[in-house]
Amino acid sequence: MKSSKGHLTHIATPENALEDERTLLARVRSGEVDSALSVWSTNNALVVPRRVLRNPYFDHARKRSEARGWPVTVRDSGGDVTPQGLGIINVTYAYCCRRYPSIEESYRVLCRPIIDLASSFGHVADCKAVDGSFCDGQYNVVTDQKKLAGTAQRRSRRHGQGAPAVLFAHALILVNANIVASVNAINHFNRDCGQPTTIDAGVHVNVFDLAAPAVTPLLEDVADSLYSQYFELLRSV
Amino acid sequence: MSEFRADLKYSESHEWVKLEADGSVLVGITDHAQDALGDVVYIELPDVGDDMEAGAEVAVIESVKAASDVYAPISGEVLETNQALQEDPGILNRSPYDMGWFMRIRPNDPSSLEDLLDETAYRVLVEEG
Repeated sequence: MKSSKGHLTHIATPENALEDERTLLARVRSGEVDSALSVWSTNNALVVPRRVLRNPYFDHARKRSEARGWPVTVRDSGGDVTPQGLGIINVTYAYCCRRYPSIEESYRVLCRPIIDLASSFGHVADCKAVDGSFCDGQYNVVTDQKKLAGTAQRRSRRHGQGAPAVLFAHALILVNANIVASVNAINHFNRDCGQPTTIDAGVHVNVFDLAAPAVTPLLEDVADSLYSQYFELLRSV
Repeated sequence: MSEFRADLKYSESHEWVKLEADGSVLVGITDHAQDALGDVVYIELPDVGDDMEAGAEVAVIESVKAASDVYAPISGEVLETNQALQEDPGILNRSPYDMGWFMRIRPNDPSSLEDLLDETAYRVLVEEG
């Protein structure tokens, strides 16, 4: 089931949300459109990259996570286990280009509107790793040493030799998430997978925590603002 | 500085192809491509017996930075895949042209290798960015 408020689409089933991402990429790869953008959220879930499927305890861990209210679904971009849920806004886009920008440049472009969002609340943000954060990497958006957003990308092409490149990018932004519950779900899942990694809820921050209470925006307002910025970004690439 | 080899052919999507004495070809991704991706953590290979069409997606690489599709540089049947890559994806970073091959293919049309880039043309492609 889908519902929309402004530019934010809520897709109730995490599996369907990930399928919509695949459809978005497929539309650009097929040549139906040259670019596509989606700002979306879904219900509580853990999303894992394909490599996690190789873990011998994956099926066991998946069933236990689902029983705890955190179904597990698979995405096509890399990284590690990430949470989904109300209060997390995802930005997904794909576009066709003659040649890819460098991976670093692609991430700078993806992160810029989120850095600007933090800045609009008076917080300096940049890209770096944060020890103890979920799906840690060099291109987290970080403010006050805490992770505000995670990012991923997939490099693909249209069909045929010499075909144009297609860049798929995704950002997961903690806006008003239940960070403690999300991190607990990841830690339980990792333990059930036999992984010793422990994620620390205290190294994450929500967008809403950056704003003074009197000026805290609505989730939909944040989504609309991000949509506008990424829409303009896609017009310029 | 990326390594280029004269005995290989290259695709514009950064795969390399090496013709073997028995007429089969080995396929991998170039030193430039692995370097851009960074540390590789997972590789999904095709199944032996798969028929591949030139330009079609045949494998997926996940690195610490990004996921990337790998494309068939020529059409043919997959004869063998490099299982060592699935056990230790880091081989691709350490030895992209030797230990890090992805698959062995029987080409449908051996002359299709002539359509690929030689070392000089591929070097120009990479250096033009």
